[in-house]
Amino acid sequence: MACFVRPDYEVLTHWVSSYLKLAVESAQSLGLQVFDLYGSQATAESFFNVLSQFNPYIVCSSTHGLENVVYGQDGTPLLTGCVNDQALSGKVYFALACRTASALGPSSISKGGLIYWGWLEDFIVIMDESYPPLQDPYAYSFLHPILDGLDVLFRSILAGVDVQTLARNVYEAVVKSFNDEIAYWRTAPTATASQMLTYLIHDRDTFVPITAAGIYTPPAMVTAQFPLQAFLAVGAATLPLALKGLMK
Amino acid sequence: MSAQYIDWATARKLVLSRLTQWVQSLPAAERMLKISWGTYLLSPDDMIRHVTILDDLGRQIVAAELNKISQEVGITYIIAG
Repeated sequence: MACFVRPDYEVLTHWVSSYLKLAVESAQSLGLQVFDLYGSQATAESFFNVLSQFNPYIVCSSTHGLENVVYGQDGTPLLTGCVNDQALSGKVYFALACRTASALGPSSISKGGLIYWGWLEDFIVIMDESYPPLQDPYAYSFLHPILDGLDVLFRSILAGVDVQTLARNVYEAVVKSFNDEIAYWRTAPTATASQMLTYLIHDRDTFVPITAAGIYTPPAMVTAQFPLQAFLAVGAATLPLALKGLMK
Repeated sequence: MSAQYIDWATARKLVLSRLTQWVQSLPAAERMLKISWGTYLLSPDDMIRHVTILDDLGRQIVAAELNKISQEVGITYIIAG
């Protein structure tokens, strides 16, 4: 069972909610029971109603975030570290949002969350509003990797893999997809290609999976260069401190 | 890859040069692109303005751009101060 939270109230949330709708359809086609909280339904009240009544194992959201907060419709708080993040206990959560892996992620894991996939810094997207969201060739490169990761998430859960394997499978699918997009833009004949590379690399290298074992660190960083190693090293080193601080 | 310590003024100069070059090379259609950065929705010119005044967002832009510049030139730039 999966719960999707898709606020839609300004340009970015309109774009990302459009892409996450494809993941909703993918989950349904694979046979998962889905709760799709979209637009005015993407509120804390609706979200916690679904959690308390149906206890979905998978939670996905596409929205704005800060270090300790994920926001719902119209920028109202949906989940806040040390306020209501115990609701993620026993669940896996994919948070397409800025920065939340730096505080809310570790906080929710310390309260029994199984996996938290998210971003340590801002998630950056280049958009062309002259296109509908799903036909925007720039935004596609940033958001398609998320769909690839979610597809692996659904399929891995249906295959019954363990938590650590699930965390790794989804992480690797997202990074591979980002790498494919990066390879494409390295040769794309457009003035914006260089900026696309800058932000695709940034989004790839600040994406992390967090479990009770810490931040998953790939055994060999063959695809990423120094920034990802640095981020993961810093993240792995600071996670115990963050957890300790949150438990005080 | 060697490492080099630089201050914010030098980092800003490096990034402004790169961003200005990018904006000047943009055809009209690509000048309309928007960059979603946190809660900001920026035009290419907005990015240059934030980097120029080096506010909080400008510093984040500098850090991300410098990361890419580092990879291109093979020098790990570390902003000190």
